[in-house]
Amino acid sequence: MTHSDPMDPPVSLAALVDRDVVRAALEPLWTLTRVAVRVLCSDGTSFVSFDDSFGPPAICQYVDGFELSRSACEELVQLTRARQQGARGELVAHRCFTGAEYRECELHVDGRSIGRVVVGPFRPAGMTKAEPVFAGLDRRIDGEFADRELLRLPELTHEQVDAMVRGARATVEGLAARGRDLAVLRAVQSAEQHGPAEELARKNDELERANAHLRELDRVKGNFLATISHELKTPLTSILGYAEMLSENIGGVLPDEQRGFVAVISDRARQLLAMITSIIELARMDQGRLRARATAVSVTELAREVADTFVPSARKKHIQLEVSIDERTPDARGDAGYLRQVLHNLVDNAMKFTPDGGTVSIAISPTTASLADPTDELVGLAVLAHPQPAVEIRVSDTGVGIPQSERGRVFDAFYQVDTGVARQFGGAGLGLAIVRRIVDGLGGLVRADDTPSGTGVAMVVVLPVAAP
Amino acid sequence: MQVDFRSREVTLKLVYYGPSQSGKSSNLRALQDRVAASHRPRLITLDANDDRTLFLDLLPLSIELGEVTLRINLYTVPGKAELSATRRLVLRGVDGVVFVADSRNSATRSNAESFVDLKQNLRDIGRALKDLPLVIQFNKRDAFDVRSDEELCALAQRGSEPVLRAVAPRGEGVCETFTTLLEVVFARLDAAGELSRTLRLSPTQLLELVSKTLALPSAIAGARIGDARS
Ligand SMILES: Nc1nc2c(ncn2[C@@H]2O[C@H](COP(=O)(O)OP(=O)(O)OP(=O)(O)O)[C@@H](O)[C@H]2O)c(=O)[nH]1
Ligand SMILES: [Mg+2]
Repeated sequence: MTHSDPMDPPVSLAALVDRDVVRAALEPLWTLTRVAVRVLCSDGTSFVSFDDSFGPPAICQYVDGFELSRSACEELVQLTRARQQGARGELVAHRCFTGAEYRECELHVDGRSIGRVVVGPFRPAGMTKAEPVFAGLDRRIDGEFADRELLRLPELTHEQVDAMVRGARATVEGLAARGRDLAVLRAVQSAEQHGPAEELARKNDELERANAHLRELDRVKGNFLATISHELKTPLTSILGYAEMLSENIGGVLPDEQRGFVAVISDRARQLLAMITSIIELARMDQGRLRARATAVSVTELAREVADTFVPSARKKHIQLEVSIDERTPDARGDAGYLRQVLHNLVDNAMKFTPDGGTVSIAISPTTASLADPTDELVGLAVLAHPQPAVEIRVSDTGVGIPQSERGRVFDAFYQVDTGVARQFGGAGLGLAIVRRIVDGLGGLVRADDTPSGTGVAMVVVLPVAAP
Repeated sequence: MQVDFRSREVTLKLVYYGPSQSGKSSNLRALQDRVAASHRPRLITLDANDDRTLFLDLLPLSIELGEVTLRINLYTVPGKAELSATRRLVLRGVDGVVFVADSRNSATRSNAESFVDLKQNLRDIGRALKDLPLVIQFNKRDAFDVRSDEELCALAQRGSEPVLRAVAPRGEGVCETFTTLLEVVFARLDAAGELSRTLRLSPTQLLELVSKTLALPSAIAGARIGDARS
């Protein structure tokens, strides 16, 4: 995953600034003070340097004349090189054992180091004698001579030298920043010229690979689902078949109590079968098989149809089933088969959580809602959705209801508000998850809402309107 | 993520995308103002030599993490429809996107068009939006006739990415948007094992370090819309 960003070209002093311009800009500092000024690249090589053409300052020549002091000087230089520089922008002071000083500072452009500016050696204002340490290094060193040589170094106050370093830094960094603007601009332009061909080649390549991968994934997943459904359903079908045979007395007459047990076996096996079917359905939808053929679907008709199928079970539980339809409701954009399942699951869920003698009502009406075309995993929904005419399906019950804080999660797979209730009524909590998957796939939305009476909950599905 | 072992630099590329005039450049300017002075970056603005719309902006942040320097390059794309080639170019090697939407009702359509353009441009360079860290910002919350908070909240809860509100020129929601994107980007890189390999830090540690170094506010609760899920 190592990309190199064509718009972020590498930086270096030599690439960013014109040596002659830096030269011209820094020369006055040297001319006025006679203190050496150097600009070094990040690898330590010299970029621009002003110092005496007659060689190093007298005090340095004197230091170089003795083996011990020369190696001490070299060591000191090595040490300061190796030492981590101060925080960005800070001036760093170096002090030689003679008492002479240097100031230096790292140069940055856009947070990257491009080199250093070094000013020195100079004699700090007020210093008239070399440090005694120097004379102590070698018996042959003449302290008074050293003092005299040190006095020949130009004298600077700390304010003066700091101003010099800051000025040099501002100049070079300013030039480098302009250079970097240009470099970025040039990089952008060149990438723009050479980009498209490369882009196309890579794109074809990646598409080819992605396609092969997808085909393989599809095959594996398809196989897995087919296998699972087969493996789970086959034994269940046998259980159901044999239970039926038992209850029909084919294996001999059963006492009533045992017939009751067998009825429970059949009932639970059927529940299990329904659950397995739901799981397979849900997994299929994950696979993106729900790219529903969007057609105009009359939700009002579907609602009446689905309500009819629940009449017997409603009667059995003494539940009142109400259907209220606003005839102005336009057709929804969707798939009739899937929308039937949505309605079925909503009503089924409401029935399950409504106690005997309660009411389940189905209401279909036109509305307005922020909707978007189906997107990959709802990426960008907040930007893509916009208020538009829609169809609302509202299925209310008079059950225990769902606390406000839980409502966001009721459409998650296997979610149950109260496991006690769930256990009592059975069901794996997949009905609503399937509803959500379908509605998401159709570009609609689902939510749990209050009921006007305050008891129970209303499950609301909003679907986009079919194109006229 | 770009890793340069020689200079020990890790570079992230984050792109502010969105329709023309939605406030992408304003975001970078406000962020620049709010970053700690010690780390305040330059805003590089490239001019297309035409009157009004700028070509693109680059705000290069850099943060020392011990031996390694973490560089975060923030780019804006030009919003103008005809500059699609430049947008594709800016998107190359992108690690995360802030989509800056204009909250005004009148901009609803151009927001959606720009989002579709983002998706298509990514596809054209061989990337998929759904695999990319994304944060949506509804900017210009101070303007008249904007999409309602309730609507955005409902959408934010349904959608798959964080949604924030902002008034970029006043800096409201700007840092929050940035840190939210960083959070998503770091989590993604961590899942790919890249953080532990290159920086030896957990996403939370890294986010904390970056916010502290840049002196960005750490509480991001206020700007985030519909944050019921987390
Ligand atoms: N009222 C208000 N105006 C804003 C806001 N954000 C940006 N603007 C204004 O909108 C205009 C465009 O802002 P920019 O930041 O340049 O927008 P951009 O997205 O970079 O535009 P392009 O580069 O042309 O695509 C400027 O006049 C901003 O002052 C906001 O939150 N509220
Ligand atoms: Mg701009």
